[in-house]
Amino acid sequence: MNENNQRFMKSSHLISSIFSKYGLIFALVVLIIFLSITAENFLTLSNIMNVLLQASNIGIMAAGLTLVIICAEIDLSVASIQSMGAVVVALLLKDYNAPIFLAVLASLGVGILLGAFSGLFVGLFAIPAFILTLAMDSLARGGALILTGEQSIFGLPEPFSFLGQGYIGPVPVAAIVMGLVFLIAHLILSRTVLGTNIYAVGGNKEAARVAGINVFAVQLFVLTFSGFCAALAGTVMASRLMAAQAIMGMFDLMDVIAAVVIGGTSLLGGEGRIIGTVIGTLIIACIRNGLNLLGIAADWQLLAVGAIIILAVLLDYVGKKRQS
Amino acid sequence: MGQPILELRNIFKAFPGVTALDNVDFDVLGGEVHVLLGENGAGKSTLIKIIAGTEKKDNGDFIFEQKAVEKHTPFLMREMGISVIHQELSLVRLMDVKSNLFLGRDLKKKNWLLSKFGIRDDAGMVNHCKQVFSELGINLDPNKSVMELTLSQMQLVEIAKAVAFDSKVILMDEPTSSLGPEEKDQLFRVIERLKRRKIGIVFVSHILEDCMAIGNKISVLRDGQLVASIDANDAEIDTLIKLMTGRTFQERYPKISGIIGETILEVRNFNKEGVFENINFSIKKGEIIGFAGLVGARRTDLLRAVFGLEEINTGKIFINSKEVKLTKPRDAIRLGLTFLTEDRKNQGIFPLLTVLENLLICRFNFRNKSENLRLTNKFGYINISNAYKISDEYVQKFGVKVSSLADKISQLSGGNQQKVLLARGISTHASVLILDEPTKGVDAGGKVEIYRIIEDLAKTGVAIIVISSELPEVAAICTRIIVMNDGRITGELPREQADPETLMRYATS
Repeated sequence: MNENNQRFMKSSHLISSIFSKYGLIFALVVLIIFLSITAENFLTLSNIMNVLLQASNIGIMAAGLTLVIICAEIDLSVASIQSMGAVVVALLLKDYNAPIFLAVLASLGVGILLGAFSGLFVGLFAIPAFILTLAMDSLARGGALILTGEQSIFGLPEPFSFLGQGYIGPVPVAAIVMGLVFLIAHLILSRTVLGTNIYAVGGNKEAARVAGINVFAVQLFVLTFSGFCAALAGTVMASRLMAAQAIMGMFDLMDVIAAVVIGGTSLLGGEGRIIGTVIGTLIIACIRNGLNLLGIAADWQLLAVGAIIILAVLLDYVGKKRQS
Repeated sequence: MGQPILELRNIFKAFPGVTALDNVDFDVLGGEVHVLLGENGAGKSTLIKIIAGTEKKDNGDFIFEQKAVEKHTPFLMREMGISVIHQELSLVRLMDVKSNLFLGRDLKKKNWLLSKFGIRDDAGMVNHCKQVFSELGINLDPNKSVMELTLSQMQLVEIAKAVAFDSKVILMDEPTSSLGPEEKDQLFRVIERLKRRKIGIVFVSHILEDCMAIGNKISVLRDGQLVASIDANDAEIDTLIKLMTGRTFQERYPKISGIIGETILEVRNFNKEGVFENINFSIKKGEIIGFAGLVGARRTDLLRAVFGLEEINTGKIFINSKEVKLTKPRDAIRLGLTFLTEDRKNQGIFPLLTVLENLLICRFNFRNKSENLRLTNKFGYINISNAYKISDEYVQKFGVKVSSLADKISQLSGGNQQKVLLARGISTHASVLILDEPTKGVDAGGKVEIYRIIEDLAKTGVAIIVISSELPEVAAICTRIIVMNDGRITGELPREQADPETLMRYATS
């Protein structure tokens, strides 16, 4: 039985093969045990919910980026589109007194437009996504700075906080939103024609063309979806902080890419699963949260995160090698 | 004949569930071409890998120049003097010929100081390169970029590289499968020179004619066992085929035909500047037509253009006597055409996807409203149990050997991959099937099975266009043959008149 592709596999095989492939689940469990022992407040319900809340914007963006990377493209603009999304929703609420529903829709619309813009250029003119989304990163960040006049936006209407600060039962709404985005991305990838096409284009673009797959449409979709997810993450973040600023989340790109890659999605395209990205997101979030609880300073946290990413990827590599 | 350079004794190798090599003996003598024959799955590739050092033997002796070799890595094998020239050549395309020849061991300047700084001695490398080329009778500019070379020239560079490394044994895996007659002659002349240098050559090929033309000794593997090791002069094609497969020539190239109906596809006035000109042909339902010609006759370019994979300057396509707009593969598939490329690995299969996904990918994208079993709903959500049912039907019908539909397609043999691609092509209810070298890299048994599938399809009225460089294949399976040379159609003849000499005359006229 083949371990690397669990799509179209009976569920009994699915579970065993996830475990055989994702030694990362094991890494996550070890990490959780370690943090539970060293940081006494780690394994409490409220802290776990807190981890999920903190993970939400990274997770939402990582879900979108997973599709992009499986399609053998990259999106380096997610963190900036996130800021753009946050700024747009905050400005509309504050300066234009727009209804919350419309402001959120507009923010998502801007994300979709920016993503589609990248997708259009990548798909139509075969410009490498690396270059194009790098430029988009600068465009979106610059746009957000201009829109805000480099100022922070405070004083958003109270009901807006529901998305980022609200709870349903013990679960933060933001975590539920993240879960829904993961679920949608998972269903697209594993159960739809579009998902199969994403894997096909990422695995062998030329064969996809010969097989009559609309390669342009697939590339356009993944980058648009990524833009949508990034703007959604921005909206959630603005709601959580009840503020928006053009430079917030400036370093999130690294965490997002790390979550996807730790999750086993190949940067070469054609391989990867959402469940991996979920675990990758949780690993990153646990590390960040645990180090905070342990009172480790931000500079040392950076070092620790880098080291742990290398360790996690190494574990994954060793696991894969043992299988083959 | 010379001394044995490489001696393999009682080589045994098993993989979980299969014995790949069962106590196989294999010798390579200096100045001798030892042909290794066998169908896919016979253990040939395992033996090649053991010689190349990429696979370890479980048991047996590996003796090189009278010394037992214990450590096996590709690097050690090359250092020892064994070079392997794979089908997929391993040259660095962006570098020039001489740099490839010395890859990893560039000559340094003679001057002490300059050599300390690792300054390359380009002039010295050019000279050395020219010397090797002239010894082998290769006419190539050492400063040319590898990208500009033809496939056969790259192959010659690989051979020169092996010689520059002072190799004593050179293993060539399917060296002639993509060469035209002249290039093949050139390769054979080079091989003769290698023999004179007392280099031992292992020649692995599916093309029996080539094996007999160049070989001194022929060894045949079947099911992991060495079934024969005979002098090439005593070998006959029929006996070799029998040894490999248990089939005769007639069984290997069965004459097949379909049930002919109305004209379905007509190509008129196809022109592409500098590629092909003034192409007109048509095909009827159930007809199997062959495109014969030498490498470079532009057959592939023409049919890729028909399928919308290449742009043309002028030309019209008629389907069922109606002119159609066809500018991209999606149009072609919608109109009932399907195309299997020659380059199965890079333009055919999705190596990371399952057999099921590879089979159904076209059907996913081109929904047919009249299907009984719905594969997807209107949102593109896949019905997995129907997907299993439909692909299972095709797998049964086309005789694909696969343990699970959820296996990756790259785990299948070439023949089985090709069957999956045929099923993919036909799954959209195609009425014209264009097959570019459909049996390339497929063993003799698999070929016959593919011919049978082609026949079954032709019997149901599918029009089939075959491009093939294997003349006996074209003459056997096609009812009508179009010969091309240099972008023009130079002849068209019924199967009865299509003997190799006539075809060759048209192909060079």
